[in-house]
Amino acid sequence: MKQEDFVDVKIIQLQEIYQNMSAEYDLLVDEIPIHRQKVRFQYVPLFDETFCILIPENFGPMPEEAAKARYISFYRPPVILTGPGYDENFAFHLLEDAKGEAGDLIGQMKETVKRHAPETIFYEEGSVMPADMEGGWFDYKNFTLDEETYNMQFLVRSDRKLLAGTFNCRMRFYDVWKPLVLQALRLVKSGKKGRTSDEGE
Amino acid sequence: MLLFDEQLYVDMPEAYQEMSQGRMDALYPYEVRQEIILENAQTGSFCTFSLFEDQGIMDSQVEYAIHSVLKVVTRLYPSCIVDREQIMNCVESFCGWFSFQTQAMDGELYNVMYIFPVNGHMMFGTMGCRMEDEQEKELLMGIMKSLKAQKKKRRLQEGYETRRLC
Repeated sequence: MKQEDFVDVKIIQLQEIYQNMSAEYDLLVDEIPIHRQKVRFQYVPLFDETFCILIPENFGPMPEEAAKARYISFYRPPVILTGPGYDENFAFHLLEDAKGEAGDLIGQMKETVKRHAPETIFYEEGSVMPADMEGGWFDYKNFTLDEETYNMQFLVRSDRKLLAGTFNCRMRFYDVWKPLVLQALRLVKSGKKGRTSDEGE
Repeated sequence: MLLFDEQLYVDMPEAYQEMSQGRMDALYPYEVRQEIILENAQTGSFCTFSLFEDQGIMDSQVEYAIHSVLKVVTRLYPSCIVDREQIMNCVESFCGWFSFQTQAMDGELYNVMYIFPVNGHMMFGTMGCRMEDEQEKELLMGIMKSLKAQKKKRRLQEGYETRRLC
């Protein structure tokens, strides 16, 4: 059987085509096909407009009861923005007077994840410099009750304020979301931008 | 020691005392916590007890129930299991239990989860100690073996409260 006849080779080729197509989208202007819907991204202000980040327009604050079930700790993120089925989530903390370089903090965050869940599969890490701010990210897979979950954790520093965030989705959709989330990170802004804040509701 | 309005007897070493509120908030920062949380401050070991009065269970269901709990734990931590689910004879009955390891700040923890029927209701317990503390592991097994359900006493008023330790 020729290599080009193998189904898994074809699947990988299709995935690469899809990733290339996703990477070419401009979050600022394009409608992006996600789960058979065309979705635009829009800037959402966070923490009294300290930062602004591009989020899909069909995301909104996670209802409190759902947040208590999915983030059982009292110390759950104060801002959780979720998609229509609660399957994709952005969550944010704001740290004030945070010390340390983004790269070092990313390393500490990775160690914390590794210590808490040794079976975690780590993938990549990198740095971003949105609007000359310092930032970093890493991604991994972990195991949850129903399905494996893809996670990206990231930091963006603006002066002494640190935006710490996570994105998660079902593992089988990571290749749809990863390039979009990375692009959103590269386009993070600080200061007053975007529509009326709806965080903390 | 009698728990849950004297429905459950357990032979608890004196070193185990109710965990302070501050430590509970730090170690169990959840909306829903175990009903009774005891700890041995010296060894860092803990025992928790929760009686689910809306969850009936028969003796014949104990093995299946603990197997279900084990499946949930292994979904979250695939390679953590130390002892697979098994039955342990207690004073006049038996419980289903398994053990698994987790990572704490200062080393590995040995954790036990078990189910023990109390007057037809599910009592869910957890215990834990440092992984290297073999003596404490034996003590925890002894605590589990000492479990004994007491018949529920009649009360003049309807219903009863789950009483925390004084």
